[in-house]
Amino acid sequence: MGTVLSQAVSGGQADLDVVAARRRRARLRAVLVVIVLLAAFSVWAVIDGGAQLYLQRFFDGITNGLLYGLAALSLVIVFKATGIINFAQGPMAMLGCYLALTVLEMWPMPVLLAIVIAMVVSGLGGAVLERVLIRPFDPDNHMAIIIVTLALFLGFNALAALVWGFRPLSFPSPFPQGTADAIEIAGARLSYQAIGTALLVVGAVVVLELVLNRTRLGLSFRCVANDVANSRLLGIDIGRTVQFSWALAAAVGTLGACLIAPSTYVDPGFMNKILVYAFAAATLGGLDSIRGALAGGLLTGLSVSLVTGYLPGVGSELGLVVGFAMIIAVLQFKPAGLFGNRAMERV
Amino acid sequence: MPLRIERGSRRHRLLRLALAGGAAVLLLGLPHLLGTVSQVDTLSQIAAYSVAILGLIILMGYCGQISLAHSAFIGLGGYTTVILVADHDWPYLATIPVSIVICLAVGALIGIPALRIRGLYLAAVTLAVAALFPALVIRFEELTGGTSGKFAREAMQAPEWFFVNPYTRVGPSIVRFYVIAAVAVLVFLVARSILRSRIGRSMVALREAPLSAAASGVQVARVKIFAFAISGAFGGVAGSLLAIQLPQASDTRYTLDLSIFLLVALVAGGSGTMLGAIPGAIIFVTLRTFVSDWAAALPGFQGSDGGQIVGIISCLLLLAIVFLMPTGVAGGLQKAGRRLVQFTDPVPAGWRRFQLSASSQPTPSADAGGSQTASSPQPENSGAPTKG
Amino acid sequence: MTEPLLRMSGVRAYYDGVEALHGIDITVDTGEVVVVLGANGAGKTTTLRSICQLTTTTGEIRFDGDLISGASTSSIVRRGIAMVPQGRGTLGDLSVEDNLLAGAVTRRDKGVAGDIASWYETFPRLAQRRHQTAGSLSGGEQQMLAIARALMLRPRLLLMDEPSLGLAPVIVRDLFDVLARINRERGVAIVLVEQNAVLALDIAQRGYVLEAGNLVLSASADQLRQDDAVRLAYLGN
Repeated sequence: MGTVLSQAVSGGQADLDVVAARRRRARLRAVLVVIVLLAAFSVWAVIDGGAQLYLQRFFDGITNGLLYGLAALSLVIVFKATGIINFAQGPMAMLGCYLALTVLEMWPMPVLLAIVIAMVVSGLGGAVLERVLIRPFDPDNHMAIIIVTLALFLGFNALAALVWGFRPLSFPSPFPQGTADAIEIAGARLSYQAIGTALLVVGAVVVLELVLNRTRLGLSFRCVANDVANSRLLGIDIGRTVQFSWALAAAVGTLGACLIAPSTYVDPGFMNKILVYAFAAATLGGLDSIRGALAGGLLTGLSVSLVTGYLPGVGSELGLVVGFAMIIAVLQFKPAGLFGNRAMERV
Repeated sequence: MPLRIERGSRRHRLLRLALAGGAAVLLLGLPHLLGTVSQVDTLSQIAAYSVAILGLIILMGYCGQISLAHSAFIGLGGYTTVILVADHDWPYLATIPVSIVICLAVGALIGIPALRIRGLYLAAVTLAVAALFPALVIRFEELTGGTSGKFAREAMQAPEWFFVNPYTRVGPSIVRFYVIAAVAVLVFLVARSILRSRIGRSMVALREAPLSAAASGVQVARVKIFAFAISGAFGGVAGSLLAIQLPQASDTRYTLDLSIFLLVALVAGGSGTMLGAIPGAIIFVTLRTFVSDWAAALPGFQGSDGGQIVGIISCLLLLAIVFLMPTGVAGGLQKAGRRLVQFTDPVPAGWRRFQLSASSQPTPSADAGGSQTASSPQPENSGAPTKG
Repeated sequence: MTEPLLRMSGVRAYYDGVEALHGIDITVDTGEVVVVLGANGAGKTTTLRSICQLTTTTGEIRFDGDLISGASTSSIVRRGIAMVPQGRGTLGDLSVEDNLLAGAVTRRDKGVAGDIASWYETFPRLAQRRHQTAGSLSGGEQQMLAIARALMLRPRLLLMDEPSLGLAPVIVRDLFDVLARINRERGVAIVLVEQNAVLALDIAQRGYVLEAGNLVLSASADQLRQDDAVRLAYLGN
């Protein structure tokens, strides 16, 4: 048994391989185009402003990019499981950040520990939100669920402003932040804060990949992300899996906000701007790819840093325009993103 | 047993005439019944915002496209009016066509990515537009006044022959209300004819079954861009009307929050029918003014907390409506109205000719027509048989 | 013991309020292969979906004596009913190995790795392609993977929805050999919905014929093969 099968390689096999190869090539080509564009810009930038300035901008871009990637990741996790963009992700992360701040104020402890506590609490909060506000709806009723997330956007922003006020608060960095705490590479500063943040982000992504690839819940998550109907037939509890994705996304989002906060400040709207960059990163990565989100974040961070840093007339306040332009460009030329698999509906 | 009225019959026409007359009397009389300037201004705001929400209803309710960019359109309209009046001495009303043209163009531009993407991506793009608008306002400071805002010194004046005496305290407000309400009524009439036209039906087809719509000859690209352009233009008109009511524009007036609040209004009012814009606007303005004032006066809160409490209440309101009354206030009213009056479609003349066999085919009897109008009014019902 | 493994009594099924099954009675005994025949739209797939509660149903469905109508799909699957849906019963983005692991995602015992190894023995092609995504397999390989995945659950009842759809005839024959062997060796009862009645009746002991949502015939496989109406409609002679 199985012998005929193993010999009878149907013609479809070769076709599928060709399609896969073509898709791989297209992906490679798109990434190459982006890299060539960035490289060309970089060459011009180095000639224009010197290597030291360029390197500084490069480091800034990479550090910010990793954080955008982390924020994008929290969008991607929920999107993969549900097909929904959680518009309340930014405010949820902002609340998590305030939570860490409050914990730090009440009990003196290492910053990292406070962040972990905030992550756990946000994770639980995300799970509760899913159970109470999302699960009652038919998962295909996207409009209703989006409206719920938009309602939360409004509610969380208002709640934070009511409890903590609009006064910008500074968030302590888990890493040394003094002017001397940096290494110098060719005259450009790379602060310990940036290095530590980058390591944490990479560590978080590795942990996330392990959770998704090595645990039972992770497997359920990947099944649901792939095919809800089939997952149900595997005996997977869809609701519980989606809940897990909300919890995971909330925790990742809180981590992202807490790592972004030291370089900006915390106020009720501080994650809303980041949300646009996160959208750009997620769109670039294809919305359903974890590594894509991180790569998209890096590209977004670099582009924003370089374009606002070098192009005359584009001040730093127009970073958002760069992010927006990237979203539009990706959607226009490669709607599935650079790394995405999901074919976009186009009618 | 509800009262049954056949569409197009004399009773139907009379009822509609009576309703329209009632609405006109209400619009004309209401500002005189209200005593204070702020009350009349509130009324003006409701009229202006109803136009903005109407734009959203066309886009979201009829065409099924999500847009969070509406704050940007209202802002565009507002700045257009204020800049033209303040810097170029234009009369207020003349600025509205300019707003329309600008917003039509920008709306169409935003509609272009909508051709390639759907739903969520689109919401993300429009959200980015809304987030972008205040940044652009600050960037182009010489034009917009930047963070300090832009003001037109002279409020709108009524011509001498106008029947409202502008020299009382409430007079100028009432004049402005009449102008705003007149423009709003005009926009509603325009919207009505658009939605009843071929392109309006195409929008509904696109929302319900995009593939079938495309397959049956709906020009998807054109219809979507048109919906975005029209929706944007209505937003622009609303912005201009708001600038007529209060001639100032600033970056903090047109934020993403405004878009989401409008969405609250849309969902609360009901996006299934044009008239949902009116309860929507009433809820919107009530939340932003009265509830805000009420909340700020609560013990334990400061004046600045009003906005926050409104945000939380709006959030809860939105959740409650999505859970309990997905068709909004207008949908609920329609349902209640159907208990009182049902409109039936007239039986087409000579329909018997098209009957295939007397017994097996369902006949378009008055009864079948009645039950269909109960679920959703279907104009095709009366049109299709006579066509063949 | 007279209680069958599966008993459906007076089951009606609905899609959006429209009745698609008009009260059917089906029983499946332990270790039995039962075939469900019928034209397109007769309600064969709906019957399987009713057993897994993927549609709204009324009436009574008992598995092993326990009432399962009204229970959630995931709890029914956990009781030991596996279904291979029509077309693609695999998770296309996941690797072959992950598909097999996913089949056992509800199991808590230690035997999962052993089971996977034994399926690789049964289907060497799957072992070769264990790290490839399921979507890149050929149709026949995907169907084999779908069966293996379903059986990773160690079910007592396997529901198969038109497994031969879109497969080359030589592979279909092979597939039915596999099903027969699974039934023989593992004692798994199978409900088989199939257009290819000749092959299906070869491995089945009993069969039902559905017509427009009603059960019109219930007989042994031999009787069905002899029945004139069935021969005309489904056996092509």
